[in-house]
Amino acid sequence: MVQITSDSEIISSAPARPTWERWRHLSAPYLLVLPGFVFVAGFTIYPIFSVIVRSLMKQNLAQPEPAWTGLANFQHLLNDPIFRQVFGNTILYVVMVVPAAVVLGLIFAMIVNQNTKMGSFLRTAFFYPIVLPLVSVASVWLFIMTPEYGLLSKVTQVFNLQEQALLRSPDTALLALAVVGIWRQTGFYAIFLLAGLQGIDRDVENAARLDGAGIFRLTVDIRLPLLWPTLVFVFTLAVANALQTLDLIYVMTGGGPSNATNLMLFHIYETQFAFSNTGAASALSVIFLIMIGTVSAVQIFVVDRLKGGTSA
Amino acid sequence: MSGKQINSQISRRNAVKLGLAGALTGVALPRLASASPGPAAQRKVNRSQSEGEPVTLSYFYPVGVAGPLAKVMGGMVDTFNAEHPDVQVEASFTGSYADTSTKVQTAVQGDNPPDVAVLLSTDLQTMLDLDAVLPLDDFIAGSDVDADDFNPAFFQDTQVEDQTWCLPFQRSTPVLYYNKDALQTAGLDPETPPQTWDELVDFSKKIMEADGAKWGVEIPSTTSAYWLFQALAIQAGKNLNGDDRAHVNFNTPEATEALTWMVELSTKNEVMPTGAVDWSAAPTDFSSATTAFLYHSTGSLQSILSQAQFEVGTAFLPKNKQFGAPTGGGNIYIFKDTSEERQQAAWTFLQWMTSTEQATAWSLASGYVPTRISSTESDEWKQYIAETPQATTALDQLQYAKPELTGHQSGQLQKIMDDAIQAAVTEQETPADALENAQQRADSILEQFR
Repeated sequence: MVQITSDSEIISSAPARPTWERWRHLSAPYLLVLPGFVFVAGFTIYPIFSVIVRSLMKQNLAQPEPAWTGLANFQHLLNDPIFRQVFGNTILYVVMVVPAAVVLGLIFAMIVNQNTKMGSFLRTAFFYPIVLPLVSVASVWLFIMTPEYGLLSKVTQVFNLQEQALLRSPDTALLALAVVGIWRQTGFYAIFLLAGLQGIDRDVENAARLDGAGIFRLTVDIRLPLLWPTLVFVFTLAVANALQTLDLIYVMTGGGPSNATNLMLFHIYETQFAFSNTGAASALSVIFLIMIGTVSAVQIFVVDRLKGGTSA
Repeated sequence: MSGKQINSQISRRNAVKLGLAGALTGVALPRLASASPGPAAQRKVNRSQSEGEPVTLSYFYPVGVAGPLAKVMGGMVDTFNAEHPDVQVEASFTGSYADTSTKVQTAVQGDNPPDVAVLLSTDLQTMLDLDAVLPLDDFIAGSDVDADDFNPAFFQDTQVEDQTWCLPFQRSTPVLYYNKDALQTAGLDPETPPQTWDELVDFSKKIMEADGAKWGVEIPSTTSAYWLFQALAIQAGKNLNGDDRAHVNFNTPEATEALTWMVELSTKNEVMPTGAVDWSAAPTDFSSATTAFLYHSTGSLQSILSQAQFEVGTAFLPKNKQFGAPTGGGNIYIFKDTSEERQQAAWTFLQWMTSTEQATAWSLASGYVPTRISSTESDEWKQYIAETPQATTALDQLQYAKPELTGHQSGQLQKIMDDAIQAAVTEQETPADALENAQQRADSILEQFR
């Protein structure tokens, strides 16, 4: 066996080191990683495992001791119209928020990219919603949307439009929440996309301009393809964020009216902490895990294909 | 650098990392093993108390009505702490009744219950299912508390199987608030509020036509929707409660009639705003004369009186076949799983909070009905009602009061009822379908308790 030092000097071609030393040497990387791993094991892997196990048990106020039921909890959920409504609401919310937030973010990023004079002011203007505490944001928007006294109501009164009670009707409540969600997240995505835009090689853009490309061609044929990895990342981030909406619902609608704004995470929270139904809440959590996991898997798959086999 | 030097450097770093890893593992693994919340039998809360130090109690309380009652509560607790140097109470405002119930359930299941809490009187069954609260009969027997002094309408839901599990603290019924000025504008007698459902609709239409208010009536259908709807069901002839705590009567003809009337207030008669009227915003709508009539808790009285620029009247909720209302509000509970010393201290606090003096003071500050008969005979109360006669309505309405919706999983039953009401009021479902669905959902939950 040959050993080489940093000076590229062959030390010896002696037989293998004593086992003890060798073991110490080989185990070094694992031991260095161990503290971090223990943390992840304790706070991520163990809870995931625990929730999967609990989802196969029945445990609620009628049955305080967990008892094995196999897939009965999941069966129950599939038959529960509230779960179907919640699942549908969650998908709908994601569809309403994500494309709008990402596209708006891209537009904002392009505006900031063009405009170097007002650049830093615009960046602040787009970015501040994400910095505000979410509960404060929700409280203020709740007030804005209150009929009679809210800002929105004052505006409709000035223009003689019909009074809007957005949060009180199942048809408009989710849309109202989506507006708040978009307002909050767009600037955040704009920052990422701005970084992506500024990473595009100027020469490529100049070459395109020389060839007569207008803003539309420039965007679609040059920028978007080069921005693709960033876009995929932002898209995934947006979906994950939208799926995890909880604070907005808690403050603004409490899941109503008539479960119109009841999304997955809020339903899990209510089922476990308000109704003490651990079995059902665990089953819901497993389903939620699969939803988020799918989103991440799609991202990895898409980026993988893009980069020809190596993920970012 | 020779290979040997690198080896020893790594081994030194190794040693440090090994030590750290070992320490972390040693700390983390036992935690992981004992992380599961268990039933009562497994719970052991160990809060040791040293001699001579005051006992510090944790106390959770909700505010479910309009008004800055958290401040009043803070004042009461401060007074108690000043008068009792050996028992100190740390009060935590924990939101609405539902929020407080959630917080208490979570705390109990996490082996960290509060010592004292105010919860909905209907949460008793849930607390019993969690085996979380202490029966109070021994405490009452060993002290000079007169259980008969509590108003029987409020005392009945502290009883399960002939044991007393809590004491009435902030109790109420819903009442009809009405705008006397609006009545006058419509040419109606301001001292004669509507007595029946039909009169309510009739008066509302007249007031709206005369521009006395933008809307005739508001009956909230968000938070506590089930409570106000219970009143309507009782007035139509049948309460929502079942014969025992594992049954409910949601889909009766009386309930359907009540819900149909409520929905038609906005759809057919157009005297109520469409959509789900908000519980928290409704009192403000009333005090700003946006609505002429309001269904809300008597506990919101003081807040409404302080904001309204017109003369406010209160009356029994209009009857259909009969007058009727559910009782409501919170009782005060002592929790198990703490040392006997703490339980004794908690009892001292409970005794003080439900004493005649404090019960009267609390009622005066809020509009809640005095829980004790002796409170209603006190001079403070008599003087108060001379100035504020509106406060006696709820007390007088008690003769028509029925128990609030309760049962196993009461929180979930209430949400099911709220969902049904909202579905009907926003015209997603017909009242009959909404109540039928509610009954099915409730039955599937209550089955496991039968």
